[in-house]
Amino acid sequence: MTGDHSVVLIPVIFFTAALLVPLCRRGSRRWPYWVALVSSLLGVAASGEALWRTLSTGEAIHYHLAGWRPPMGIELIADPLSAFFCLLITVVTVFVLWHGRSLVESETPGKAVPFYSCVMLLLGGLSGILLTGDLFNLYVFLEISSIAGYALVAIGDKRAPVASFRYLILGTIGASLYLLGVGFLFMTVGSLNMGDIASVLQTRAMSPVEISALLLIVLGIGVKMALFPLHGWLVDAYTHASSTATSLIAPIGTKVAAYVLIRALFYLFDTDLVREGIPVMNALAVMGAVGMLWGGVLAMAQTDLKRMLAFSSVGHVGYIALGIGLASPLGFIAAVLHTLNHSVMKAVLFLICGSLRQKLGDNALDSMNNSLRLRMPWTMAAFTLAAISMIGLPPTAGFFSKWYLVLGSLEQGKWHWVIVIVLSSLFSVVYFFRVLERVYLRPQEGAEEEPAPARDESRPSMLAPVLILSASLLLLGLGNVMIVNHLIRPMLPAGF
Amino acid sequence: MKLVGWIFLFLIFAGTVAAQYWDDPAKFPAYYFVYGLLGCLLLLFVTKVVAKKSIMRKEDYYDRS
Amino acid sequence: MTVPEFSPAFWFLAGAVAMLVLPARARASAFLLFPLASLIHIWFLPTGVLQAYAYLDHELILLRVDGFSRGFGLAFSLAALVIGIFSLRVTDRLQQTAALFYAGGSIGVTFAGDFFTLLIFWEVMAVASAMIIWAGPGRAAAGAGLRYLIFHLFGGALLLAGIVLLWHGGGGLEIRRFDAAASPAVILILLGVLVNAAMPPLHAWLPDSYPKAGVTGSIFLNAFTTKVAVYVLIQCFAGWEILMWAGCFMALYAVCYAVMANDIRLILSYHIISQVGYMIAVIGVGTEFALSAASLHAYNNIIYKTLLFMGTGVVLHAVGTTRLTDLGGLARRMPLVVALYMIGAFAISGFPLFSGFVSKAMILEAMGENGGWLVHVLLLAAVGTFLSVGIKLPYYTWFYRESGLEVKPYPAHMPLAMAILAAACLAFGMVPGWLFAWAPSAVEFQPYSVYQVVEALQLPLATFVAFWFFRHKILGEPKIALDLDWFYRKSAPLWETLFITRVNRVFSATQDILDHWTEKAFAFARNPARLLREVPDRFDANLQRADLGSNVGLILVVVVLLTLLSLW
Repeated sequence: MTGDHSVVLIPVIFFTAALLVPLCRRGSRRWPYWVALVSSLLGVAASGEALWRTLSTGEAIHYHLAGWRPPMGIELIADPLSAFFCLLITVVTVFVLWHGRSLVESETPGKAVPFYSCVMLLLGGLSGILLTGDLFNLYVFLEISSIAGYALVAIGDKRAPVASFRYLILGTIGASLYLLGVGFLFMTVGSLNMGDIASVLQTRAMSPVEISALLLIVLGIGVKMALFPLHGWLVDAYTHASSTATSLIAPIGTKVAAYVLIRALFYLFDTDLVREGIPVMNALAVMGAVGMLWGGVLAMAQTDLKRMLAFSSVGHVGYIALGIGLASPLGFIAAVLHTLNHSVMKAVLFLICGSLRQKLGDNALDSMNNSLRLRMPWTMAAFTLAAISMIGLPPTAGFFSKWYLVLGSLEQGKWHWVIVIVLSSLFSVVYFFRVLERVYLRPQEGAEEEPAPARDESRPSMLAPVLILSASLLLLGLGNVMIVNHLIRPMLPAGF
Repeated sequence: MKLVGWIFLFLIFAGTVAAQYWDDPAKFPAYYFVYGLLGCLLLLFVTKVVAKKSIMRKEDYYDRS
Repeated sequence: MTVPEFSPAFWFLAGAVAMLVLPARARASAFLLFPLASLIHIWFLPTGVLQAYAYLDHELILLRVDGFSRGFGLAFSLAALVIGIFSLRVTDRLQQTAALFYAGGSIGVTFAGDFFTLLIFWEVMAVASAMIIWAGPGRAAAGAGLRYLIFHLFGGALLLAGIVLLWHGGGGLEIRRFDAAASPAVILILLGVLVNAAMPPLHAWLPDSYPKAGVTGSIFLNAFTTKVAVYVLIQCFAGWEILMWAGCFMALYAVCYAVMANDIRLILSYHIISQVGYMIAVIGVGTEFALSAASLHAYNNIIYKTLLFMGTGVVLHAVGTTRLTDLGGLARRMPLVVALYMIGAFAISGFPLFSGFVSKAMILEAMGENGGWLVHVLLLAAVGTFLSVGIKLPYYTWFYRESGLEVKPYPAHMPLAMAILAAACLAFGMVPGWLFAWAPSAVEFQPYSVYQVVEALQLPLATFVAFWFFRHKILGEPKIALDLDWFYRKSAPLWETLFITRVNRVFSATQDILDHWTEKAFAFARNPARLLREVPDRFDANLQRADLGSNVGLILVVVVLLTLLSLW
């Protein structure tokens, strides 16, 4: 891979693949799958290379598209933060695609070609968002990824088109708010390049127009991130999309939005002013905290596993928002670490939903009992591990992001956040143990007459990614010191 | 229990009393025997008479709801 | 000999992983390698802080060796090894894996040098031991395991809260002796540890769960959790006078329940609590001699208690029941087991020439000097100990009357494991110097004084006489004695209503109201006539959701609100 171009290669690979997939529909039925998988692997390699290079040199990699220098031209930037997110989304994609090899065909027969094409488009858009250094260009990528996302959700069950429509309306509102904010900024600053804008904004006080711009950007992205109470699209979209689509969108979609939030709040605007002048950080923290409780409460009330996990996603987006809202190094570490952990945990859980749906036909909690433990012991073990990590017991990964969040709150003397964190962890104990109790303890009805169910584990191509990802939860937990010191600390913005 | 056993136990008892007397004549030589006897009876009274009236239940107590 | 300096817990953790992949035939024998490796490793470890990593602002100390941790580590490894021999026929992968995780967690706590490391291993112990209980037979084990896990997660939460407070107070997290001027952080840590020590009223998990585990499961459980708690108490809370009182109360309370119990494993379970009471009482004294007494008693206790549990394990294995009212007259079918059991029973009762005598004499000596009349409480508890473990249990199990139960043959490695422990009981009793060599500090003490021997002979003699006269009355009927677990077992339906049904109802009502009013508001804004439309009255998450208009409206409200707040 030629050194300078790896940055631009990441979106280019995915967009090319999005075009290649429809072309190979004439070939073997497996070709779309292989094209998508190979391009994701290439994406992993390219983002890994970019991350390695920016970490080892300690400088961001700037790439000027077509040689036009900013602020006139568009530039792509890979610094530790964006390269890390790129690596995260591509790695998760590889595992989800691996798991979905047979699932896509069986759940949405005949739609493999548009499915994989949309996946590639989504990835292209998301990686573009992560890498671009231009606010308007970011909007373009945001729309590309969103439209691919709407289409992916629509390829689902009977109710999916309606869910997708809600997603479309609310997502467009979010994007419009963002665009409005960018317009305001362009009016006063006269540039769209992030570095340019930052250098202007951080030298003088912000005018009301710029403050409005900041708010519009934050809230517009908040909709995309499903920040409470802007999360109206998320639950239905996650519930009704096909298993593989959910496992893809849930771990990475909201996380990229979280990235934009971090980028805007800590790198674009004057951090001191954002922290003290206006209540946006506190508002984020409050929205996050209420979302943590709200998501937990509603997750307890659900009767469908996938819907329960969707509500728990609302809660966990709250953790990230709370970490950002603390506006301190520890809060920043907590937010980024939780992004990583939650991506992996949610990927495992939604993938298991897919495996269960293939065996049981649906994800209703009522149909689960201890025959599952006998039929799919390994899948259930992975589920248990991921659930423990979601609850946040040491030494799994989930514990450590909560730990940093607690430390960050205590550091500022904000005890109420600690109480919220503990409460929401208790909620997650309740809703996960409700599932575990069924799987491990509740006997099958009429089990006395029937013989014990035989081992009926899901196929290796679905089991392997689940097991690898869930085992990595332990590794992420045990290696968190290393991750924090070598990966996240270099990301800390200059103001800290 | 056979008579031999009782004689054996009595010999041990007598030995301890003698040893205690020889060690410290001021102490009551069968103090621990009396303490043990009374203590044991107290324990049996508490657990077999008092407890039986108050906290003893059938074995399926927790299974009935 | 120099050895690599990492925590010996990793031997066990590696072993647990190995159990996951090894085939059934190799597992039981491979099991023995890991405690053995740990035993040798600990033997050669030098003293001091050996393995530490920087983490945030403090150090994670994975390996800190001193006299106490070396002794406890050796005792735990030895117990795991011998129980492994006893369990050579076990093929249950879950139980073998959980057992090694459990032992690994205990050793990890023993060698931890800071509270954060301790907490992590502590939670590993809790989860792994719950797994061991779940491996037991039947629904009773499933329920008890869940109650056990919840109780221990509660204890872990207390500990975590204490640790967070300690960290926040800037006191540093290294494990050290706290002075008796208590701060909330230290009290929380103490309570978390006392849950594991089964201090009444935090003890109910122990008699509830241990008798319901499998044949080898309860043997494993008895050796670790409570003794780990004793170790932490020795390190952190030595000399807290309140522990003296609490320990004596604990010893007597549990003995009373042991006398009432009808299940032989329940008797022994209560005796775990009672024996830990002895140790805690003497930890409260806090002198160097007292701490040596506490730790030596803990080592002895691990040995003879494991031996006793093995005896009941053989009975359960051979006849399938452990209720005294069903047993009787089995002695001729398992004479060797009876003999080995009795060695353990004499040891726990503190007979001269058996190991318990030596450490118990040290405890009574330390208590007599500092505790005044409290020593008489411990003597009364000793009477109860001999009454239940030394006479009642063996007499009704192996003698008294013919029960007519069918006796299955038991494999030879079971009495072999018992014989190893029995030999240790006798050796430490006859040559106290061998026991003192394990003590954290040099011990100058002569247990075989006239006073001690007379006391140790007269008490059981009196107990035996009293028992003999009432022997037909004492057995009684198959009943259970209610303990404090009544409060959470009988009230389970209440908690469920209170915390699940009611909570759910409140939340669905809240959702209803919220939905109702947003819907009303926006319906009103669009078309005032819709105000009269009927709204379904039951909450169904899947059918009823706020409509698109409410969501859009909500977004606008937030935008306007936040803008107003910011620009005010």
